[in-house]
Amino acid sequence: MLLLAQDFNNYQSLRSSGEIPDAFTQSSSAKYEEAITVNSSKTIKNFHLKSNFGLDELLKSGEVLFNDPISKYVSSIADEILKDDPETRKKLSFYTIKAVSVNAFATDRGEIFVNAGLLAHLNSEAELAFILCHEIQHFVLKHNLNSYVYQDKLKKNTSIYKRNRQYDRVVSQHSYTRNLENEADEMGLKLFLKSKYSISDIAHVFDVLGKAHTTHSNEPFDYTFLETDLIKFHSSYKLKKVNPIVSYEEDDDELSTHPSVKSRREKINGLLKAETNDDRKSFIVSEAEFNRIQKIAIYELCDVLLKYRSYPAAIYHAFLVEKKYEASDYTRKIIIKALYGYAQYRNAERMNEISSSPDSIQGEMQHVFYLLKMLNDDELSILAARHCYDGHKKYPKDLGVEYMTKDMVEDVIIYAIESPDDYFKTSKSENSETVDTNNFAKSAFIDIWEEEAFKKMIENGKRYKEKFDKDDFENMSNSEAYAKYKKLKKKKKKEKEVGLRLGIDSLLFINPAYITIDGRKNKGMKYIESEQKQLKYKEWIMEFADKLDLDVKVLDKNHINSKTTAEAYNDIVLINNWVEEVLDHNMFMICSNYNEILPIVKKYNATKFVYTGAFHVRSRKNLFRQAGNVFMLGTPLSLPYGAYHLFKPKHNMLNFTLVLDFDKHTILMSEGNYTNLRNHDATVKTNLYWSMLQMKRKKKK
Amino acid sequence: MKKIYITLFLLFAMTAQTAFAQGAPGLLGNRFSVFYNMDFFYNVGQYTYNEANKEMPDQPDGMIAATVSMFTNPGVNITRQHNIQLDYSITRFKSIGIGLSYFRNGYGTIQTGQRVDVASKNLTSISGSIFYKTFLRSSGGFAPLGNYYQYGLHANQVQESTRENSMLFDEPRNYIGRQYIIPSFTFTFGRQFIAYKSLLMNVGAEIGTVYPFRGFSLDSLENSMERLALFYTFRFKVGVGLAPF
Repeated sequence: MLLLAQDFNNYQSLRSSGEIPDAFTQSSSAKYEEAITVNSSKTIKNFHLKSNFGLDELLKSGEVLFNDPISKYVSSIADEILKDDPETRKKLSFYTIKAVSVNAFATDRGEIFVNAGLLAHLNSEAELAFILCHEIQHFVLKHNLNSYVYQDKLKKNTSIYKRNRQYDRVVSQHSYTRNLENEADEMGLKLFLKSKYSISDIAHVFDVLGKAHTTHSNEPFDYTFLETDLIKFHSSYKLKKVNPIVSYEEDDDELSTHPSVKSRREKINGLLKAETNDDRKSFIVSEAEFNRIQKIAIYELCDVLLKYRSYPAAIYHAFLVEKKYEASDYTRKIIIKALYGYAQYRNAERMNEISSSPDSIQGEMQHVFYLLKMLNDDELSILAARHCYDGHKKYPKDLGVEYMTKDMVEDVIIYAIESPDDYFKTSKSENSETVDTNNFAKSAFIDIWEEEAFKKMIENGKRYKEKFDKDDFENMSNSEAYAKYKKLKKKKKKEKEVGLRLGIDSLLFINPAYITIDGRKNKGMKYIESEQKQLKYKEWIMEFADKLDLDVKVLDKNHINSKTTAEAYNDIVLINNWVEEVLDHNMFMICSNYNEILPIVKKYNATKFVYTGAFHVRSRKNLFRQAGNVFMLGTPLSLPYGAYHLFKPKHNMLNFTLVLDFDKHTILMSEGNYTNLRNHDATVKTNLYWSMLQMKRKKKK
Repeated sequence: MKKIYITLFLLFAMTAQTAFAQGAPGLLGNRFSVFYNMDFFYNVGQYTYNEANKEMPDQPDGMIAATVSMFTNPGVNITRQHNIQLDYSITRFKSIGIGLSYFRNGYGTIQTGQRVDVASKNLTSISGSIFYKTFLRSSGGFAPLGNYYQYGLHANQVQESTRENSMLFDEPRNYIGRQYIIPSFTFTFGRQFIAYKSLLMNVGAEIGTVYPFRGFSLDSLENSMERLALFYTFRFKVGVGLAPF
């Protein structure tokens, strides 16, 4: 139904629907208990412990969808493949991952994940069926478990591996997993041949694997996609020739977990020699359905790329969407968001966080990377501001675009134009017909500068610039700067001492976290304890909310139960994505999914989101220091000191709290209290209480 | 003495009053913590103390053996001060407190001549104190947990007494000596942490001095004030506590 309801002009990103699967509601520790028996070896127990908790982390990451159109379609193909083996089919469940990479994988629990990026690359249902057969065999043949056991043997240096070097062990492990892949290929093909899917489609699967690092299509980029009447790019900004797309089909696989694509293709071709394609089809379930599902996957990738902050790639994907399907409000908004994001990072001089070198890009997408890199700061800000402003005029009800426009136009004044009055005076006297569009930084706003809305944004920009200039240390004398520095330092010290007074009454806590790790002898994460403590942590939040008379709601992806609805789960995922984006940006910036959060904010009546938790590590003590402590036992004077430090365990704990303001798109409170105290409940609770107290306390009048 | 206690209490109350307006986390919101602490250090040159409190043996031979053993097998004698301390967290990293301490110490002397007498020159001190603690934010401390520095001001009310055992007496005799008040200052570096559930522990080392400052030597320890000064010079601290409200 959702599929039919999907309006591609105003595409809504994929969401989960229907009943929440047990895999999401059952706790990881319960799954672990179910998986092991009394006779299970330590290795097997470790495998189930790590795999259950690790997979649940992925399952509840928000990237995984259930009962969405893609998952349902993939399930229907699995029904077709396994129609003669209902027992195996019953054990399997299929999920979509909102990820760009070309990948699918299976777990020992029978979950098979398919990335949206994979679907975008395929040509037919039969190709997807071949991939599913391969993954189903990984599950049937228990490859994950076997691989873990083998790796464990290597780690323990038992038997023949005892004298092996690290390099040999890695090669040995990879050789083993390559064998498992070959086995899955071979057995998967057998399963595939039982179906009526076309064997001639298999060849394209290997083509896709060879070029998995590139975009799903390589359409020649048209620069007019980003140009307007007043913005034309200088020819020097346009790349003459792009890097060719290189296939990695023949790469050496010695250090790879997978065999080379070439060897896999040859092996499958060899097994297919005796087979014919008679009565076999590329589509059995539905060709129309495949096309629609692929369309959804391709649209989805634009959103995913924005979330990854891969702004040039998002622009090129929007271009591909328009080429393959049609221009839409959705793709125009993707361009606005991508240009806005890219310009924000450029203005903040944080390009190293988001951009790859154009030289490393293969195919037509390189044009976009090159163009954005070549634009100078002024041009980039002005290009983004103009696209935002046009978008705002076209979609006046879109609050996200409106805020991006205001922010971007203000940024033009703050970052791009040194003297705004001179700039506009010069531009205003020019005739738009003679505008040098190659120097669009001067002329890009010529047709809108008289518009009231635009003028207002410019005036706001001037005000902010004045304020920033006033606060800028570079514009102060040494003594003024020093006095201000001292004042700020004193303020910060006082803030730390007596805390903040945020005066908030209503809060939404997102995924309270509690992780405890035993760093001694590589014991690693204490999964079960962490899960239990996480539940306790949630209870403490409610306890202090009562104590402080705070209106608190907790949305926790880690502890959803059978009563949780898919709608509530989607809320958690969306807010989580928003929080992650805010944290990634770590500056004033409108997030790409702003509009999706608005209804949730209204629903929960809370505009302040809290991300809080505790992270505890018990680590190994320094042997040299321990020797010193033993030495200290030798004299009566130092004996108490030596004895205390000899037996005192080493703990490190971080209690963190972030309070995000949805209205102001800023971080209101960012506190990370590092301590060397043990993670006693009272210690963790005290930190939590202090954070919540600061949220509640009102400013003094 | 009463005046001193009243002054200390008023000082504490005034600081606490200011602190209430600022807000601090305390432990689970409980800003008061109560500790029983024991300050201790090895006896230096005072090994006869415990023996002096014993009844003298009836027979001269036994008595001589006992006195000799005082020197030859002194054992480990620890001087202790018992202390009850009430702390109040005024900010996240600071707390103030008041305390009441009890300290008893003796110094044995042996007089030999025609007869052997053993005497113990005792001092008993009851002191009131005020403290100011700063918890180290670098190690993640927050009042009342973590590593801390503590500055203490004490008023010691000292009572001297002598207990003498002699062959001439049927039983030991006690003589009340002089009584005086002496201030002292201490600086402590320690750590407060949770030992179990909400049971707090306090460990640390303390240095200090009495006023007026006086030097001391092993020969002059018969003087109670010098013994007090010696004890304040360096000692360890161990305590348990709760944060009840």
